[in-house]
Amino acid sequence: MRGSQEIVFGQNPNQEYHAFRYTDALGLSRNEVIEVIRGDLQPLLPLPVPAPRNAPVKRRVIVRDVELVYRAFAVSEELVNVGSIAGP
Amino acid sequence: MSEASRDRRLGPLRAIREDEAAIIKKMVAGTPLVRQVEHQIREMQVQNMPDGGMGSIKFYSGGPRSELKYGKEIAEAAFRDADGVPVSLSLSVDKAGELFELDVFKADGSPLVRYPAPSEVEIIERHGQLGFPPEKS
Repeated sequence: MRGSQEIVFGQNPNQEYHAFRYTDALGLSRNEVIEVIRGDLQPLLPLPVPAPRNAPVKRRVIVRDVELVYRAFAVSEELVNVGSIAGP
Repeated sequence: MSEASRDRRLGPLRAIREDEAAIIKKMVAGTPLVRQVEHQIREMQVQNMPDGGMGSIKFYSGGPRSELKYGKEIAEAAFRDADGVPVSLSLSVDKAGELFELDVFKADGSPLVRYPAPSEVEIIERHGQLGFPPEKS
């Protein structure tokens, strides 16, 4: 856990559903999406708190040849929340 | 805003609220999409999305549109909620260019405390770059 920030994808079932609604519709495995995004995001940690200009970090990843764009905010010095994964 | 629930259905069809329309107009102001978006705002109804009370809405286009109809993001903005938590806004269209969603992502996922006034919202332009947005010039 680099930078002491844990990466989560929502903190309750509704938030998780909201985060994964596109990848679920695309038939992508949540575990696979989580693994790829964590691998992409981990080297950027720690994300700053507060977020510059109140905006999340935005990144592009590819999961099973599907290009996805995700947004992530640092909630605190201990937690990063990935709340939006969209595309293609 | 309501407490988070486990209900994953879209809310009932309703007219877009004035404060929502004002934010969307600000997000597309100065872009070639202004007239098209303003027309669609007048014509289309919306449904609350089951995002735990963050305020995301889906535009209704005469029938259900699954996430597979997503086209692209056309505008992005951000603001700080009344409790100090940053909030990201992403406006998207479907593959046919019709308004699709206004996705609201509050950093900690908690329900929105207060819908922002347009003056509180900052347009975020990344110029195609990923990562954090560039410093405001």
